[in-house]
Amino acid sequence: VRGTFNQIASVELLFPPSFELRDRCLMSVEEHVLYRDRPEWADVKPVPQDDATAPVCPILYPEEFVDTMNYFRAIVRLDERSERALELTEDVIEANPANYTAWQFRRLCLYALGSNLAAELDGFVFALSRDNPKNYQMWHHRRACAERLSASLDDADERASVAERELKFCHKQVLLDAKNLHAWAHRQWAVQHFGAWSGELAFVDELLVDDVRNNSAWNHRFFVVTHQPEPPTRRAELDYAFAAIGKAPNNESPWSYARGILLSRKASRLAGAATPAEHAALVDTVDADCAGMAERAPACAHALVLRLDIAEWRATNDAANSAAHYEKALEYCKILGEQRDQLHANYWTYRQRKIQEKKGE
Amino acid sequence: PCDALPHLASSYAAVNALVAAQSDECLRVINRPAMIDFLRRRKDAETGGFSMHIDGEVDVRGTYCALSLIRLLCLDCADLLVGVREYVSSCQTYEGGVGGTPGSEAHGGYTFCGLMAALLLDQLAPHDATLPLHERIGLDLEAMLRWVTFRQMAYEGGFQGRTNKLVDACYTWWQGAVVTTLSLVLGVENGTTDTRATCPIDREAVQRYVLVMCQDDDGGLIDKPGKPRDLYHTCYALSGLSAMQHSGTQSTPLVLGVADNALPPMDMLHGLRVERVAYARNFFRQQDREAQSLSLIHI
Repeated sequence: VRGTFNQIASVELLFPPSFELRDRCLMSVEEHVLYRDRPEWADVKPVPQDDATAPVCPILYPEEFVDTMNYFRAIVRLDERSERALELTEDVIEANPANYTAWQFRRLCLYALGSNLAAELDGFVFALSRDNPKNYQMWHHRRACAERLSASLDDADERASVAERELKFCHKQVLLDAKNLHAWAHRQWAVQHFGAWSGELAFVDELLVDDVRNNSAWNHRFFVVTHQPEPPTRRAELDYAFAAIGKAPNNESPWSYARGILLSRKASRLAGAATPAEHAALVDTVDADCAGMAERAPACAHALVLRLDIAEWRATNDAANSAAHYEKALEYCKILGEQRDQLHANYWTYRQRKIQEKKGE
Repeated sequence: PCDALPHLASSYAAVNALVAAQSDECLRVINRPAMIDFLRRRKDAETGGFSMHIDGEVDVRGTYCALSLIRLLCLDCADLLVGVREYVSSCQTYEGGVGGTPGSEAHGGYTFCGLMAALLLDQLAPHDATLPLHERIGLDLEAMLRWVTFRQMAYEGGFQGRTNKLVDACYTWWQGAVVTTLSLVLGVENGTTDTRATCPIDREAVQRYVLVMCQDDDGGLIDKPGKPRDLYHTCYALSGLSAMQHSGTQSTPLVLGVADNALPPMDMLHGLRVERVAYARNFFRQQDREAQSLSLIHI
């Protein structure tokens, strides 16, 4: 468990202020000159916000904000994609990091100027990400810049370094917030786009050692094993899941993961259990493991739930004995609803009804 | 002129606000042909989804916003529906919930978007009308029902957004609307009137969490104790409270506390009061009928 102190310390270590950024920060606090007072902007006529005649909920913007936005609106109307426009977008985005118009216009400027996108990713975007880790626009901007940067490079090693930068960035964000959805989604995009699969399982492992209940990490693992060029065996992944279950039997994440690996069509790419007979044999061993668990840890409902899912799966895949399998399934529902998982009693009653219907057909 | 790029989320919110007013004057303001043009520009042919704005991100939110606008405004644009079913389907995870993009973690907000987008699509252009809903929808609704049922927190009573994460009152709507809708579509409560005995989740426990733990002393609602109030949590805690009171199968709502706590029933697809949605759709259909008869006169 990460304490508050550790989190603060981590931010400082992960986001050391560079000389350039510190300068900018100091400037913006002490020396910000309104755009209307800058001689180099005298040729631009500021555009006020069009709030019509009687705005319903007028916002009391500070003077500095109004000034910045007036000049931004002017520049966008002129479609001036210049150095000074690029600098202006910095002020706009710092004032409101969710201003998607500014982020998009910034991209237009960067592209028009042929700017160094690596410097953009390591500089402005990196600096902004410190205080805006869950900002949609920031993450999308990273993706757009990284994609474009990578597309401009002929050298495979150079492209690999682009991938490396994005994975490192995601890693930092995940260290700060292990369940940051944006960070995980970005990582999945990067891994798939650059074919950078090799470090992923180790990465997930590191996080699960830290917190075996991190569902984002489990989800990422599922993504990796079902997409990477050389998938692992189902058996290996089931062993992994059950090892985690051993640590914390009531942890829902590895149980869902195990169910997905064993029974889901999404996992059909995984090696091992290729023939129906092999698959059925694997299901049998898992069922036996669950039976043992259900005995040893009666408080753990999950083991019985997986047995229930297995029984229903068997009813479909071993149709000759479907009646017996449905009977087992009904038995599990009853135990769950009446004893092991009374919290979800109504849900187990519903499952029972569905099984009865299938049995009837 | 508007100096900000048009955005799907603000379009969705603005139209919902206008529809919520339930006034002809507000509805007349909406330029429906321009909206179709905008949605066409947002359509992402590669994924079947929609980008939030020009050169913007594509995820299940955009798909939901677009489809909600199409149905609410009665827009005629079948071309926009191509590939939607497959895209939403690809966002359902092994857990049963839906993620923002294919591969992403199952999440309450995105599950709401995915389920409602799929159901809206089914209303606008059913995939195969000969199949029952749960078979033609492109989603494993049983898996989704199990996932969302397990998202109710045993201790707090409210919902979490993802497995092993914290409770948050806003999920009262996102998850609450999902479980209410699934329950209805799958016939979980089987037409019975005793919802306590049949609903897969404990609706009173959710209501208790919101009413007892999530009201700010000065008004407004909050995520969880200790958090500040804001309009987003107020909107979705209240909408969720309504969803938890009205299950859709029974006539008498299940209201925790005094009778005054009862809220008007919500339309699950659009997140607005039922009568607002009906009024708006009727208004636009009428608008279309008038336009059609005018064009006939000109012929």
